[in-house]
Amino acid sequence: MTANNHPFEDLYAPLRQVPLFQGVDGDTLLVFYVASEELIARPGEVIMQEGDPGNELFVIARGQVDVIVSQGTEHETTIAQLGTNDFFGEMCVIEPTSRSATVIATEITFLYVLKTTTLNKIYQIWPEAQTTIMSNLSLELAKRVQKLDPRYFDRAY
Amino acid sequence: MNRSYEVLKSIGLLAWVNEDKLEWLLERSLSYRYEADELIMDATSPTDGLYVIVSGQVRFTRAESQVSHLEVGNYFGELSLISKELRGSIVESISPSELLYISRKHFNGFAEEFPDPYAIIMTNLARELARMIRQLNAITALQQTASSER
Repeated sequence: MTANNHPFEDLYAPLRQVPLFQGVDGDTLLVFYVASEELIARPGEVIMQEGDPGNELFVIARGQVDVIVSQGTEHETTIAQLGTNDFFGEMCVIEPTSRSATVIATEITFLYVLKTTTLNKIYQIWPEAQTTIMSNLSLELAKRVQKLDPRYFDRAY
Repeated sequence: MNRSYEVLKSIGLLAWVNEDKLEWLLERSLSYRYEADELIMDATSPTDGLYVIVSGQVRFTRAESQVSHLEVGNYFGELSLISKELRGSIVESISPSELLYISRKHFNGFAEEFPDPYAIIMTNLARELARMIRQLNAITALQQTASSER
């Protein structure tokens, strides 16, 4: 550790790797770390259920999950596989909304869970953190829009 | 209140931003007028700011085919506020048009001076994108249902 490093960097280092938190300063990351809860999901365990109200953001510290829509119906589709440093449940940090997919652990998975109420409290004190997270999230969402509509970047940039 | 202000006030990206902050942005904006079928930007010019359509219509073309068109109250260049990429399409006016331009530099100045309202703008940007995803997903689902019923 160099003299320039944040004194608690070891603690929040896993969050530093998450694209959503890129550019967030050390003090604020430490607050996110302290405010988060840790969750361990066993293989096959449902972490998030489609249709449920969403009020938590999940960050995968280590492990792997499947993101499934219309689970248990004839239209059941696995739309993504996420792993270490990925995040999900992010729509609820923008506005109250129900879960659009079910997320199931496919191996033992360690997660950080951040409640939206906690995030909103943090934003009130550090609006810069909200700006950084929302602009990171927008970049991520813009990529998803582009995948669904390849003409999007032609007018958004 | 002038038309530019009314249009600025109506766009989703600037929802819940106070009037005095909107005026701050408006004071720093530039207004551009175009005749019909005039080149607004070629494919190699970086947008570097937000363009809001105050009147008229504009089209985006890539490889000589129209990829999109926007009208009054629509905006473009919003992603240039958060990342530097090349658009790749040509922007032209369809009819006589007026565009309001607010540079990224001024948005950065806004962020420094008013961090809370700027956080709202970034949240609006994420919300607009999330809604776009929901709409596109709904269209995809409808298309899938239609094709499976065929």
